[in-house]
Amino acid sequence: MRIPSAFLVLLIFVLYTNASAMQASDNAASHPLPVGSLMPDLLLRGELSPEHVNHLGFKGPAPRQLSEIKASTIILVAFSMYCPHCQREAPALNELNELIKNRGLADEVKLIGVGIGNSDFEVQVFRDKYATTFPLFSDPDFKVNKEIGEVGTPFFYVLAMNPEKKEIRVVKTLLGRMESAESFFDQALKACE
Amino acid sequence: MTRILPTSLLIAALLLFLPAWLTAQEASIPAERIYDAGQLKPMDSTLKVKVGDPAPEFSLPTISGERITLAQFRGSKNVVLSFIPAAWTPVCSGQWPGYNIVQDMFEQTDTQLIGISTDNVPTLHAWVQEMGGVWFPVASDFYPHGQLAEALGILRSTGETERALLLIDKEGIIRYIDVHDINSRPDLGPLVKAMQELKE
Repeated sequence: MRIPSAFLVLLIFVLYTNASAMQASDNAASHPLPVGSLMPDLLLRGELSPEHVNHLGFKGPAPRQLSEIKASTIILVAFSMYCPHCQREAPALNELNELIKNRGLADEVKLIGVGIGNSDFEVQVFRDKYATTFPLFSDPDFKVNKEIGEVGTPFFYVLAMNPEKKEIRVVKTLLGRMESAESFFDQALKACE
Repeated sequence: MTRILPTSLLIAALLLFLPAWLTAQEASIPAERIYDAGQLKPMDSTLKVKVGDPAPEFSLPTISGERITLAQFRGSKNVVLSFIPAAWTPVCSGQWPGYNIVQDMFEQTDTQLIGISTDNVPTLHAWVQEMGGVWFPVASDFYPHGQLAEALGILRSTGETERALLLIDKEGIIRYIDVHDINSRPDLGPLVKAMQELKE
């Protein structure tokens, strides 16, 4: 009797924590790129500050290709100004960016956001509202989202860059909010090994 | 039996408290509660007003229990009417939570935002509760069905309204109209620009 009960407790717990982990505005048509597959060389559009142009190693303002970002790892978060989960995740995203800096990895790991279905204006609203510290791009016509698998938001892609082979490979994905910035970052680094 | 008891209690506790805790955490609508109407005819009505026309008067019930009228803002506030086609549908369920974080932009431009659909009050109440509440009044143009929408020429043949934004100045004159493709969300930029221009 004891074993089935304990199993039931475990099952209930796993089911509920999974439900709570996936705090996202999901998209029924979503088909994220699987881990191990290649990420297309996305065209990134939007308004970047000179500091962010510099930080990403771009030769000039956007539009720029994803492959032009100087990094060994890119954490790309698909978000929307209109998605309440993304609104609530905004402080944790800044925390993640701080974590990258504090661990001395700012040159190797770059965090970027793409506002799915968001105009430059709407991305600027998000940037102002949440004092976002990392570069945000816009995607007013969902062009980027079509290339990355029409994902729900927030959606995280951890990407390993291989400039010699001209490859950008998906090494980790997450739909919904991070459990914590720290645990996500640890998992992301591990996935890159 | 005594060994089973603590386990059973734990199960009971999990069953009782976890859903409540999760509900507290969750303030946007679970995907399974959203009705996906699929791709619809972008527009299905003929606009009866234009920029420069006086806006039709209205008195509509809201989810807070009071009625809202255009006249009450005469001389004091510009008014944005945000018509959404239907509660519990995908684009609509995203549009208003977005407006929720730009209350300051409405306040800075002396603009009162009013959300409207032809759903009845209880439905609008339940849906807005489910999205975690909004700061602006939400009004129902349910009965006589779509009377205001019909006066504006944005009532679709199926009884829903278009996805439309109207900006009305303090004198009751329509200053901006965006009757949008029902399948997509209007960019906030042009609306805010129109609100700011009115303020100047």
